[in-house]
Amino acid sequence: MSLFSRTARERDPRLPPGQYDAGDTFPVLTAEVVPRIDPSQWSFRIDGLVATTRTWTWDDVHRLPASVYEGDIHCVTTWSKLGTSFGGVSLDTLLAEAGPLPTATHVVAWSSTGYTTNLPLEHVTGGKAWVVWEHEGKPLTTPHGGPVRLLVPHLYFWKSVKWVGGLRLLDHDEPGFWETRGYHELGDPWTEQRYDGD
Amino acid sequence: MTEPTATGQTGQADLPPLPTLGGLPPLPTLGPVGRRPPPGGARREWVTATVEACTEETAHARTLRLRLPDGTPAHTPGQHYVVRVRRDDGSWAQRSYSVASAPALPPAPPTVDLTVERLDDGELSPYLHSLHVGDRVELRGPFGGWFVWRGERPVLLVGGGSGVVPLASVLRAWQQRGRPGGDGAMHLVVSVRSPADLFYAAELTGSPDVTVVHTRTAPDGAARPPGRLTVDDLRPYVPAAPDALTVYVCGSAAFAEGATGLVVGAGVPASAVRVEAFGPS
Ligand SMILES: Cc1cc2nc3c(=O)[nH]c(=O)nc-3n(C[C@H](O)[C@H](O)[C@H](O)COP(=O)(O)OP(=O)(O)OC[C@H]3O[C@@H](n4cnc5c(N)ncnc54)[C@H](O)[C@@H]3O)c2cc1C
Repeated sequence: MSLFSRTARERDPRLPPGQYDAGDTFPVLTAEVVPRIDPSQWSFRIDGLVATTRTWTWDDVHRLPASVYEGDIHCVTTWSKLGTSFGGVSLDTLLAEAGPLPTATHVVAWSSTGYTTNLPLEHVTGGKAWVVWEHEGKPLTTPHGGPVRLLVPHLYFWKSVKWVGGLRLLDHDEPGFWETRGYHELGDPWTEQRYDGD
Repeated sequence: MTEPTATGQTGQADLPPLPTLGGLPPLPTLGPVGRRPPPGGARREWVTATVEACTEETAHARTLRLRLPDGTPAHTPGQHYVVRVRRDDGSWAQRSYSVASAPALPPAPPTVDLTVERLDDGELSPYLHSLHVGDRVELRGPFGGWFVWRGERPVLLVGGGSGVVPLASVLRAWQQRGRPGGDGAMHLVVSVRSPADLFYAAELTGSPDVTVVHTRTAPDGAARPPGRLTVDDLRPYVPAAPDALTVYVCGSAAFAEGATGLVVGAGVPASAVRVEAFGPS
């Protein structure tokens, strides 16, 4: 038995394998209690293998050059949201101020909830990652990670840490919350790296 | 009795905490330390299961009992499987479904019950409602290493609508093991619109381990008038020292957000609450 595809037209080439178009919806998936973070209390810290540990407040990040991502996002639970946008600052801008040491190869991004995720440094540099506080021109809502979340849109969305508090640069890979609970180390949607060993 | 385990996803192996570099503060963590994946990973392959039984739970939900290949390890309560069906254009539709049943312990053949709510305009759920006994379906799993029960107690389970599915697996597993800890060691509070919307109604109604909260229509003679879940519905199941409690909340994103707020309001530390949200947001 097979399913009739919803529409007669070609499958949207922006959809990675196994994904479907969630249309106008933006599902919420959360593992923990949603924290209420007052922007005036929020800060973002880059530490570890950097020349200078740096911390930015809400006002600090707003003074940096704004950067907008326009494109698609892909959740491991198989929905994708096509043609969306997020506004904030490029992670390159923040990393440049901290100065990664040559020994740094990976990062752990973390939230004040205790949620963590690991990323190779090369996957968050060169215009691939942002720290964002706007979604489609409006303030990012709390269930979606507001006031500020990480955005790494070329990987499954669990890498885009909600309520992000900082990044630690390491000289080795350190699997995070989901990566130690059965999910893939990297999470590339185009090769369907959903679960451990994919 | 040995713990039912899912190969490769169990074992709270005592791993060292994240390294601190040059005196940096440790990073925050959430929950017990997880399992470091084995080198090369432990991939779960797609398998073909056979529909062994279909049970209508409500007008919109049915349980499929799926017979898995011999030797398939039992799931850990709370875990889910991914089901896939090929579209006529060759692409795959895949969705996650939580296991409702307790782990099938050998010598029982490996089966899992999945309860699927039909969304009339959905892609996969109407298809799963069209299956008959003997039909085959492809699935992969079990997955999930956070919203799982590995013997924690005491436990409070809070489910809304179809969110009761993984919680039913937890409750059934605890009952299967002989209710360790006795009365009050585990309690399920399930919120439904009306009695007709309750999954596993024959089993859950009247159980000392279960409280059913009706939001729109209560059964005749019910002591509690219909209304949204409140902190008073949960408080009786939160011990005076809530630190040891583990709470599992599952439902729509809106339900999960509301219910976790109530749980924290009842004095439970946020770090003791595990959340799984699915269904409409
Ligand atoms: C970990 C986990 C566990 C889960 N456990 C269960 C469970 O135990 N039981 C259960 O019933 N469900 C469960 N779910 C939800 C399940 O995976 C599916 O999301 C659900 O069955 C709906 O799938 P569907 O294909 O029928 O609908 P979908 O096709 O995914 O549609 C969902 C809704 O989105 C809208 N929609 C989607 N695509 C489009 C489009 N292109 N255009 C317009 N509208 C669109 C539809 O209106 C529909 O109402 C779980 C999900 C997760 C992540």
